[in-house]
Formats: sequence, structure tokens, C-alpha cells
Amino acid sequence: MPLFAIMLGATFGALVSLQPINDSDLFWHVATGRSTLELQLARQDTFSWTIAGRPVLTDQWLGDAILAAGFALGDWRGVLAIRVIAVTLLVTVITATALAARPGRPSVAIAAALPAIALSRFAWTDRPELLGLLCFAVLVPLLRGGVRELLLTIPLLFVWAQLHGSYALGLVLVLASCAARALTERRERWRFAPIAAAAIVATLIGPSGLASWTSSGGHFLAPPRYIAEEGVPDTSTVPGLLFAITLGIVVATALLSRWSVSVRELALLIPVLFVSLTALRYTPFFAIAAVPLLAERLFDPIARWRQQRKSIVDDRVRGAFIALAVAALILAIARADGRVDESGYPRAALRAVPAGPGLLNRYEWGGWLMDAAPATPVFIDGRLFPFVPTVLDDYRAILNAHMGWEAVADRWGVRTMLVRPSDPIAIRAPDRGWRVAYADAIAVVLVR
Amino acid sequence: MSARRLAPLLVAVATFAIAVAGAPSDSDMYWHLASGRWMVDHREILRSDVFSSTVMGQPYSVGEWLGEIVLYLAYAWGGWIGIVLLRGVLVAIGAFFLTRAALRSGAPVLVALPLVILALVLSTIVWTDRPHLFTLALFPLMLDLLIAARAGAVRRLWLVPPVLLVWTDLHGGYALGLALVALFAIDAVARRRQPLPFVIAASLGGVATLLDPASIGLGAAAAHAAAPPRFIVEESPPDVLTPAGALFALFILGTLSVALRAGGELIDAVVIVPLLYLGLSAQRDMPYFAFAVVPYLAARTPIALPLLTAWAERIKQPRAALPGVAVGVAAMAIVALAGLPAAPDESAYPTGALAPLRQRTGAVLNEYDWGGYLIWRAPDQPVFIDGRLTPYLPQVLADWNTAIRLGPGWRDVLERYHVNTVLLRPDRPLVGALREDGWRATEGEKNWVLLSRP
Repeated sequence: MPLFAIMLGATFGALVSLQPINDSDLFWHVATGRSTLELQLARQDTFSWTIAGRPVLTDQWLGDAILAAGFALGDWRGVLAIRVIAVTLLVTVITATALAARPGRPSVAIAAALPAIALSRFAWTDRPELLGLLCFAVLVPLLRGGVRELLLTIPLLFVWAQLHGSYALGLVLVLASCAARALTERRERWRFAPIAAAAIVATLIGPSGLASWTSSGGHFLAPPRYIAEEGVPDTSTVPGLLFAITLGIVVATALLSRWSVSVRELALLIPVLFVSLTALRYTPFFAIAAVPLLAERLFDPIARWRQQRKSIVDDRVRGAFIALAVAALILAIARADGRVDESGYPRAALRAVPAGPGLLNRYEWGGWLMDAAPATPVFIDGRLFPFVPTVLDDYRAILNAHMGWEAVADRWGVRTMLVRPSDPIAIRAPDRGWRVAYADAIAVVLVR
Repeated sequence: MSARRLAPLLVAVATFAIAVAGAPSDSDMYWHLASGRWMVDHREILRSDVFSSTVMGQPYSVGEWLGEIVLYLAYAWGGWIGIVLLRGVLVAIGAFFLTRAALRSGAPVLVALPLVILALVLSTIVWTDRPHLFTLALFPLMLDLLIAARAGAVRRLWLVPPVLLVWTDLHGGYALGLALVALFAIDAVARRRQPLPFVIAASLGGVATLLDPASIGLGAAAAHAAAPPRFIVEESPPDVLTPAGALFALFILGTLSVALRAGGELIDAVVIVPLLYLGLSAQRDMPYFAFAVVPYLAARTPIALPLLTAWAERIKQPRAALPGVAVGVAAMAIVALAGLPAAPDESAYPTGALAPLRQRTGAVLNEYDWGGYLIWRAPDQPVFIDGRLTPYLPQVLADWNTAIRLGPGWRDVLERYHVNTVLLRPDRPLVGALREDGWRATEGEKNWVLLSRP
């Protein structure tokens, strides 16, 4: 692994320790993972009162368990440490991939890696998704390698399928790569069928089995658009603009380049581009997949003045730098704020929320409530799919004060509502006799 | 005559036949027509609002006065059939020049035509009866003109300033045409091949767009492209999981695939990349990216996929094929002309609410996309808001949103604008709240409800 890549990775790893711990999905991931660590894989819901006892997905059990293990070892600082390590590895792998494609050109490698680092920045959250992104970054150089590297994708897919649903994209790419190689390497095409079969089997060996495919398929083919990160890439937002710029750079580079790429390279880039176009959260995948292409073809403005020098970095210097990077990361984790940033959560409103079932809460507060008010089961939370369609539809009908919302609230037996002051129901429910038990700039508690 | 020479005409006629099949139904068409009628009746350009209760008398301009007048004159000449025919002719002009541009590289007809057809299918999302149609016709015209000029027919560049002069008053999309000319001028300067005519054409074209102060300015056009109003469906970013979005994605994937296999020239990069950005920024701009890449794909697909091209060239055309296709296309056009829709499709509008609405007094709060319809069909009842959008920014639009979504202060909005009547879709939160508050409801068949203050 090039030292330059490690140092850049450590730099970004240290920087990401400054990011507060506040992701709304983190809390339900940790709660679920805690159950797994107690050797009770959470196959039924135990956190809500609307789907209590019903089956829930276990497709991210390992990702959840890693986050819970981080929490068990070091409280929220342990979770932050996982983020720091994951981002360090992610940036290191991306940069190393760029350097491998354009050896000895760190300036070009940085330029090629920058769009991927910038876009992946929006996924540097405390979720299994970050681990999935890391797996994808590892997959890209493996797919560009030989048969041995292709074989290594099988154990990678096995682990990835337990971490996060994005493994489905990895599986598609491995299959596409096998097909492309079978087409172009005709003499040895027989090799690729068993590799493809093993890749498929590797994703099925897990507690979810075939169910993990349905979860991934649901996300990829029918993303729930009302969740911001599942929306289409929007050029009027920073991540959407970055994606459009990245795509523009890749297209311009391809148009102005004189080299023709292989079918294998196309089999990697084209499916990833389509997936990235489907939803904002998938845009980093394309930027990461395009890193080798950009590194190989980007213009090197200082090539004329560059002199070939023998590397002055021997193993001792390298070891010293790596030790320095590790020390810097440990220091960054130790000095980071290890508490949850609750500025966006209704902490003060909790004293007006009674224990027991009957609470209708905002979607994005559900996970946090599992941690902050474990005696009060939630109406809905970020796990989403178990709540689709009935609970989610009813939640939206009540929250937006749609026609007949009172009947819906009656049917469920909603006794309390914890919503934002700007929600239509916060305006409408007091008109219909609900009492405002608590109100501040973040939340309103309404009691029947 | 060869298939190559006849193809643009055949594609144009076939496209015309398909384009005239649908009845007018666009929600913005009505206020464009009303604006055109006002200007023809008053013999002056409409510079202030005369249709709403919220911004009545306030100055505004959508800058498409000539497009609105032409649209209204088509209506005055032939009723709704006039509107349909205008749509068919403009779409056919676009199809004609797009096909010519695709075939200029010498690509086999069987490679170029599928690309043209796919781009035209994508463009159906903007086959709406608005001044936008003029941009749909003029963009391919300008593209073909510039490609021809780059290939040596430099004299045609003298057409650029007059085309831009007229385009500027027809539709705000003229900025696309001007940008296209500027990009070709950059390419000519970079290549050092006859840069002067291109630079002069771009400069005079730029001046031509500034001559009419009543047009929408370049700054406003650029601002609209940079920050599209997302709550309007056509202004939202492309969703590749919809049919049109999937087609757009197909063009992106195809362009990248061909570029990676066959490369391109500077002109390809300077034209395709900005239009790719534009297409990604709003659904309504997706067709212009497709139009821009069709000539590139037609030229380079044979290099990227030589086997496909060899196959296409090997296909022997039966002697009767071309006359057969020509007769078929002519028959399509005759059938289409015989069955022209003579009335608009108003099934999406609150037609049944018009009669009770006329008996109401006081201001009416209406759905955004019904505003134009009400301007045309109930001209005595000023609207709260409509598709012209700009006169309502920012305050009226914000207030309208507050009211219909039951935001904080929604009652104040109704009081401030003296709203006595509400005409909305039944699932709006405001409808439920007003019913509960005792407003009298007149039910629509399925898609509207009219509420009156008790």
C-alpha cells in the first residue's frame, strides 16, 4: 500500500473525527446490533408498537453488530472510532487505486481520487452503509486485476452481504466482469462460470438468505423517494452538483482521450453509472469506480518538469510514518467529542411523553427514541421496510393532517404525538381538541 | 432519390402524424393563450398582471410575447385544431433538422435513424402546446446549421443572428441556441479553422438577443436553468426509474460507452458536457441533451461497434422498401389529418366547478396547475396563483404553500387575501381542515372540491 495513500487516508480519518455523532439511523442500528451481540439475532420487531413481533430484515446484522461492538467497547466514542477507521481505509484504498493506475504521479492520483473522496463524504455517517462503501472501494481494483483477484471477490462478497445491502451492486459487477471476461478471453472462458456461481452462493450464505436480495432489490429498483438520500441526484444541492461535475469530467475525459477501454472496464463503469443515477446515495459508487479511468487519462500538467528521482522512503521511514499516522488517529479519536449531538432531537420534550405504547413520533426520531426513551415503543423509525405500506401511509396521513386523520389516529389508538412545530398536524390537532403538553423550537408534544 | 436524402422528410412527416394525434391538455397552454389574446386585442405587449387577485397590476414579464401571440393566432385561425397543427409543424421541423444533423457524418441510415427516433420519443415529454415548442424546433435547426458550417458551409452562419432575434421573442430557450453558437465558436478558435465567421456569428447573435427589451434576459434564463423551481414536475431532476428518465439514462450510458470506445473531438466535449449538466438539472431539458448527442453517436457508434455497422451496411434494401415507407408515412399523415382532435382534453381539470365558481364572490384560492385553466375558462374570476410563477415569487407562492399545507399562520393567509372560496384537490390538508371548520363543500366528480366560507 503506497505510503502517500495511507497518509492521505489518515488525514481524512482525523478530519472526520470532528464530525458530530447525530445520524438518525445510527441508534436503531446500535439497538439491533446489541441484540445480535447477545446472540439473539433480531428477527422480530421489539422496538415499535405498530409492528411488534412481526418479522424484520436481518440483512445488515454484521454491520449493526460492529457498530454495537464499538458502542460496547467505548460508548459513542467507540462508534466514532469505527467511523474514523472506515474513512481512513476508504480514502486510502481510493487513493491507492488511483496510484496503481498512474504510478508515480501523486498529483494526478489526488485529482482523480478527489471527486470520489468528495462525493463519498456524504456517506461518512455512522451506519453500515459506510462499510459497504469501503467494500465497494476494495472491489474496484480487484475487478481490474487478474483471475486471482477475481477469486478474492468471493470472500469479499460473503462479508459484504452481511454488512450492507449495497453488496447487490458488487454481485452484479462481479457477474458482469465474469461475462465480459468470458467474451474476451475465449480460450479460458470455462473458468468464469464457477466464479460467477460461487459469487452468487456467497451472498446467500447468511441469516437472511434470499431475503437479503429482496431488501437490496427494493432499494435499488424502487427507492423510497420521500427520504432525502433516496431522492434523485439534484444539481441544485451540493452532492448532486458534485455528481454532475464528476460525470461531466468522466465524459469529457473519455471524449478527449485517444485510448479505447476494454469491455471489462465498460462492464464495471456502465452498470455503476446507471445505479448512481437512480438515487443520490449511490452517486459515490460511480465516482469511486471512475477513479482508475481518471487516473490513467487525466492530463499531468507538471509532467514536463518532473524529474525521475529514486524513492528516499525505505522501510524504516515508512514504518515511522505509518506509526505517526496511527498515533494521529488515536489522538483524534481521543480528543473528539464522544457525545451524541442532540441539537436536532427532542430531548427536552421527552418529559411530556408517557411510557408505553400509543406515541406517534416523527420518522427520523424513531431510532433516537429507542435509545433515549426505551420504555416508549415507537410508531415508526428508519428501518422503513417493515412499516411499508400500512404504517407508513397512516403515519403520513396523520402527520400531514390529511382528510380523515382523526379516524386513523383512533384506529391505531394514538394517545400522544411527538412532531415538529411546522408539521400540519401540530397546527391542526390543537384545533381539534388535542392538548399541547410541551412545545419548543424543535418539537411539540400533543396529548389527546 | 436515396433513403439518406429522403429520411429527414419521412421522419418529419411521421413525427407530424404522431404529434397531432393528442388533444391539447397542457395546464400552461391556457394562460399563454389568454396572454396572446390580450396582446392581440390590446395591440400591446402584456407587461403587468391582469389575471390574478394576488398580484393584479404588478409588472412582470415571461419574455415569450411573440410565442404567445403566434399560439393565439393559431387558435384564432383554426380553433383547437390550429393549436394541434402548430404543434405538429414545430415538432416536425425539429425532427427534420435532427435527422439531417445525424446523417451529416455519413453514418449508415440504420445506425442514425434509431438514435433519432429514441431522441424524438424522449422529446415527447415537451410536446406541449406552449412557446417551448419553438425551442424544440429551433434547437435542432441551429445544431444542424452549425454542424454544416463547421463542415465547410460557413456562409450559413449569416442565418444565426436573425434566427436568434426571432427565437428570443418566441421562448426563453433561445439561451440554449446562443450557447450552442458560442460553443462552436470556441471550437473554431481552438482548432484555428475559420474562427472569424463563428466569432462574428456568436457576437452578432448575442447582440440580436439583446435588441428586444421585452424578452427574458440572459441572466434570468441562466438563473432559471441554475435554480429550477423544483415543485413543478417538469423542473424536477430526472428520475431514471421513469420511462422518460430511463431513456435519458440510456443516452448518457450510450454516450459514455461510445466515448470510452471511440473517443471524440473537442467540439463533442464542449457541446455534450454542458448539455449533460442541463439535462441532469431538470427533466424538461433532457431532450436537448439527447438531441446534442445524436450526431455524435451517429458518427462514432460505427467506430465503437464496427460489427454492428458492418451488419447494417450489409443489409440489402429491397427496391420497393423506400417507396413503401414513403407511402406508409404519407398514409399516416392523411389519417392523422383526418382525425385531428377538435377539442382539448380537460379531464384533469375541474370542469364541473366552473358553473358554481361563477356564482361566488370574493377571492378564490386555487390549485397551482389549474390557474391557467381558470384564467381561460373563468376569466371573470381572478386566480390566486397560476403557472406563470414569476409574478408570484416569493411571497404569494410561500403564502399559497402555507395555506394548502396547513403551515403556521394558514388562517391568516386566507384572511389577508380575503379568500372566500377554495378550489383544490380533495387530498389537500387545507380541504380537510376547512370542512371540519364548517366551510360548505361542493363535491367534484373525483378530482376537485369547491369550498365556500360559511
